[in-house]
Formats: sequence, structure tokens, C-alpha cells
Amino acid sequence: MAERQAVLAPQFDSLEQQREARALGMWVFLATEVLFFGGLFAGYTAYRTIYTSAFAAASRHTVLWLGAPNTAVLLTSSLMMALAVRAVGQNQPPPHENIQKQNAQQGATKHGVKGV
Amino acid sequence: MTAIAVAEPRAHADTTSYLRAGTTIKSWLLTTDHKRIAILYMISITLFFMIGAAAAAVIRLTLLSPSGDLVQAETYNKAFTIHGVVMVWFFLIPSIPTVLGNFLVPLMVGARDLAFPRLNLASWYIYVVGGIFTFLAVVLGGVDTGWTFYEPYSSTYTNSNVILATAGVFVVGFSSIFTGLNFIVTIHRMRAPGMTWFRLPLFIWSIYATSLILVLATPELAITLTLIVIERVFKIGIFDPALGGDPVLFQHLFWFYSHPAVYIMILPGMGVVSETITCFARKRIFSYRFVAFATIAIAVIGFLVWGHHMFVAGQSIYSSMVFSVLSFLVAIPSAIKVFNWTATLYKGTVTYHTPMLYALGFIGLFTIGGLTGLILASLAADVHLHDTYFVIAHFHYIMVGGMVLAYMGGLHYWWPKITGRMYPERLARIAALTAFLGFNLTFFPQFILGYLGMPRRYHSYPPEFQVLNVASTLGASVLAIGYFLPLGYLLWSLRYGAIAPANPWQATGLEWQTTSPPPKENFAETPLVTQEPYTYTPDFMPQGASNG
Repeated sequence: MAERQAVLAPQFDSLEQQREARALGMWVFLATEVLFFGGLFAGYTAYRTIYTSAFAAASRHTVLWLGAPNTAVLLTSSLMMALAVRAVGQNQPPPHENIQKQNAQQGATKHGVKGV
Repeated sequence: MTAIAVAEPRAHADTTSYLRAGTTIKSWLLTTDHKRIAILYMISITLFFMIGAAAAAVIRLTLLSPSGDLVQAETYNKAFTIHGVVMVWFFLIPSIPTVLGNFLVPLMVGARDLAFPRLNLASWYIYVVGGIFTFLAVVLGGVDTGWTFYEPYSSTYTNSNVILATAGVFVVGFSSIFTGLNFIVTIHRMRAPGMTWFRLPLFIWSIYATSLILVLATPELAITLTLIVIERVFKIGIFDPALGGDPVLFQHLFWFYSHPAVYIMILPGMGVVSETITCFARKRIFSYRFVAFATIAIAVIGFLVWGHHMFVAGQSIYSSMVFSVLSFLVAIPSAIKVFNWTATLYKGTVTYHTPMLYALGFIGLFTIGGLTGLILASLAADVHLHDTYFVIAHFHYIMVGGMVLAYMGGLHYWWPKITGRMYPERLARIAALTAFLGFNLTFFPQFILGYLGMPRRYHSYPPEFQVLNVASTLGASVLAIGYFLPLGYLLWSLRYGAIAPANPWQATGLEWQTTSPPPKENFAETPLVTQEPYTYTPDFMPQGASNG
């Protein structure tokens, strides 16, 4: 199956420049996301280390029959998204549309479960 | 002048001005042209400047009398909070990067647009959404915490619209991050052939350093604001000591962003000054590499000094000493730049066009602001001066005397390029001098007030301080004239101003090698750069040398 030919955006001079610019942009954005969430993760780790028993006590309140399916939905929707990106790269539009719809439904499901 | 050779003439190069390429509202609101987005930003930040200035008017009018009862105390608190929030996040931080940066970065590096044009448009819409949240916070009752949102007042004890205001700042922060990201990628990957790093204009170096701070510091602000909201809503003890939290932790988190933020505000202004000083002294910059490296040094060292806002907050004397030393160190690259600008003027062929007047004003006022910053960085002095009007005067000398003058200077310098029209020179010079005089009359008395002990954020004061406060308010009225005049004549010039040539100032730089205003794709042919920047000689005189 042929790889889809990327379209050269007008501000770029070559596909290579476009690819490098987009890669650099994505890495910079990821760096900002790490900075954004890193504090939260660091805080979680710190408090979990200091108050181990409190975290253990709280986790005993987990409702397993909600939590387990929620995790399954999370993993499945991530897989769907990865498949969608791969399908786009291989020039297969129809499954992509369905996958996006499924993805959105799964995302909503996750939020609903969290709310409960 | 930078030598241009034709590299590859493009087959469909359209030379229609970007202003005429599409005349519908949709062509403006859905544009991906960096030049049009710059104008969208110009309009938005001007509107927010007026809101922030209105809040300042409330402050200065209240402070005309010692009892300060023009408005209620709580209303006064809301006035200075909104003045700070709007001026910092909706005017100063965006101003030069989103207006002049968006317009000029592709032109100066020889590109057709920024790396991510749609992201650029998205960042403007994000700015507008953030602005709407903050505007709602104002009209729905205001915020009274101060622009610094100190804890535990902002999470536990205030009844004002903290969540709405912090949401607005959170959102506009992402506008800044995307703008910075766009500039970093453009400068790294889209420079024209021959445009090496050390042939870049110093304005680009300043925008690059600013963008580094934008993408590294702003996410930290986002999480700090999120923590305020989490504590306010869920009553988790993060900062509130009554719930087991630490209020000084908030100050660390807040100032770790907000000190680099002040360098986000001033570095682009320094870039504008480098451009205008060289042009109107007809001389290359003194020691280009030192100015370029000093710019990066300010950005780096600026991340290490946040504790100087917390000398009296109870942190250890040893950490205060370290922050004090680092704050002295960060003044060194700034001083290097001031010395280099001065050395550029020395034996230059100086003409006093309006952009030069603003640049000269910047150098003097930024120096005063910087030196008073060193006074505040001295631990013993800061014990007495912290939270007094001395601090207010210090940062207004930098922000208004420095940054706003630089923005006005840059706006005038590049106005012919952006609009294709000349502004009226004599009136512009009068406005620049009016602003300079009004500024000094407003803020110099505040140094004295602070030295004498008048605290900041107080609506009333001892009667012996009234004369200086009245002088300050009078100065603010004069300064307002200095701002209204350009608003008027710049708008007037759009229809009645003289048509601008491609290079009215006989300046170097790629942006002057294309028409005024530029076509949508900036250049008819991709430029090829073969010379260093600022190759001025005394023989060339700017074409706009006549008055009026």
C-alpha cells in the first residue's frame, strides 16, 4: 500500500524543511506539557511517599467493577487513536472516520464513569 | 544594506499588498497571514490597554485625597488588581511579540510566513477567549486579590471572582506558549539562504530569547493557577495554613514564573531599541555578539532570581543572600546592552526622528529602573522598601518608561512598513516628549513616596504625602495625552498619511527590501543574505528627514 504523499504547505520550501519544522514544533510542545504536568506528578509522588498509609487507605475505597472497565476503555481508546493515525498514513479514510467516532464515545464514557 | 541576490524567482509571486488581498471580514477573521494576525493582535491589545488605563485612572483619582474615599476600599482593591492583571497579561506580555514579532519575524528571517500559520491564528482566538473570561471577571464584580493572587486570601478569604480571573489568565497563557513555539521553530528552521545566526537582526535574538522564556515559564504559571482553583473549590490544604498548607509555597510557585515574565516583557523592547538606535545613528551596533549573548544571558539568569520578591516573606537569610547576589548578576547583561547602545550612539550621525526619541527615552528610563532594582535587590534596603511605592516606581520605570516607550518607538519605526503610510513627524515628536514628561511626573514622585514609607495597595495615606500624590496624578493626565495623540494621528495617517516608500529610513534588514506594505508572501523572490546586519554608513540619510 502506498504511503500518502504529504502536501507541501506554502510557507515551507521543501518537504524536508516541513517535516523538520513540524517535528521540532511537536517536541517543544511536548516539553511544555511535561513542564505543565510535571509539578502535579512530582506532588503526587511526594505525597504518596510521605503519606503511604493514607494513600493505601484511600485506595481501598476503589470501586473495582467501575475502575476495571474504565481502564479497559482507556487502553482501547488509545489503541484506536494509534490505529487511526496509522490508517491516515496508509491512505485509508473510511476506517479512520469510524475510529474517530468510537474514540469520542469512549472518551465520553470514561468521563461518565469518573463522575460516578 | 544587506545584499540581496535573486535565488529562485517563484512563478506565481503576487505583489498585491497583504492589506488588499481579501477585503471581507471573513478574510481577516480566518486569515493565516502573520501580518494580518499581527494587526488583529494590535487592535486587541489596544482595547485591553484602555481597560487597564481606566483602572489606573481610578487609582490615581482615588489617591488625590489622603482619605482616598472616591471609591470604597474594596473597589480600590479591585481597581489595582484589574490594572495589574490586564496590563501584565493582556498588554505587556503580548505587545511586542504578538504585534511586531508576528509581523516582522518572517520578514526579518526572509520567510513567507511563520512555521505554523493556523496555530498563529488559534493563538489569537485563545487570547480573545482569555480576554473574555477576564472581562467577565471584571463586570461580574471584579477581583480584589492583587495581580499576584497571594494565598490564602485568594483561595479562602476573598469573595471575588478569582476562578474566572485565573481561568482567563490560564487561557491567555496558552496563547503565549503557542506564539513562542511558533517563533522558535521559525527562527530555527526557516531562515533564508545565507541568514546565519550571527547575521540575524538583534530584534530576532530578543524575540528568540523571549520565546524560550515563554515556552518554559508559562506552563508553570498554568499549574500554579490551577492549584489556586483546586484549593478554592476542593479546600485541599496546598497553600492555606489553616488546612495544613504553606502560603510561602504559593509565592515560590508564583514568582518562579512571574520573574521570568518580566523579562518576557522587556527583552522584545530591547530588541526594538537595537534596531532603531543603529538606524538613526547610522552606525552598526557596538559589539553585536555581546548584545546577542547578553540577551540570552538575561533569559537564563532571569530564571534564578525569583526569591528577590520574597526577602521579607520568611525565607532563610542564606537563600535571600543567594537571590540577592544573583539579582545583581542579572543586571550585568542588561548593563552591557545599555553600554553598547551608548557606544553605538558615540560618533554616530544621530537624527532625532520619533523612533529615536522613544529609544533614547528607553535607555535613560530603563537605566533608572534597573538601578533602582539593584537598590531593591540589596537585602537591608529591601526590608524598608518592600511593598512601598518605591517598588511601584521601579517597575513602572522599566515597564512604562522602558517597555511601552519601546513599543511606541517600534510601532512608529515600522508603521510605514505595516500600513504603507507615514505618520506626521512633528506631531509624533511632540507626543513622544509629552509622554516622556508625563511619565516622569507620574512616577518620579513615587520613588520619593516609597522612600518616605508610603505603602502600596493602600487607598488612604498620611496627609503629608498628598502633594507628591497630586503631582503623580497630574503626571498621569499628561501621560494620557501622550498616549491619546498617537492613537489619533496613527489612525488619521491610515487615510491621510503620506504614502510610504519601501525603505523610508534607508534602514538595513530584509523587511525593508520589500514593498510597504509587503505582499502576502512577503518577498517577490526568496532573499539571499551575504552581509552582516547594520551595515550603515554616515553617507546615507533617512528619507523622512523633513518635519510634518
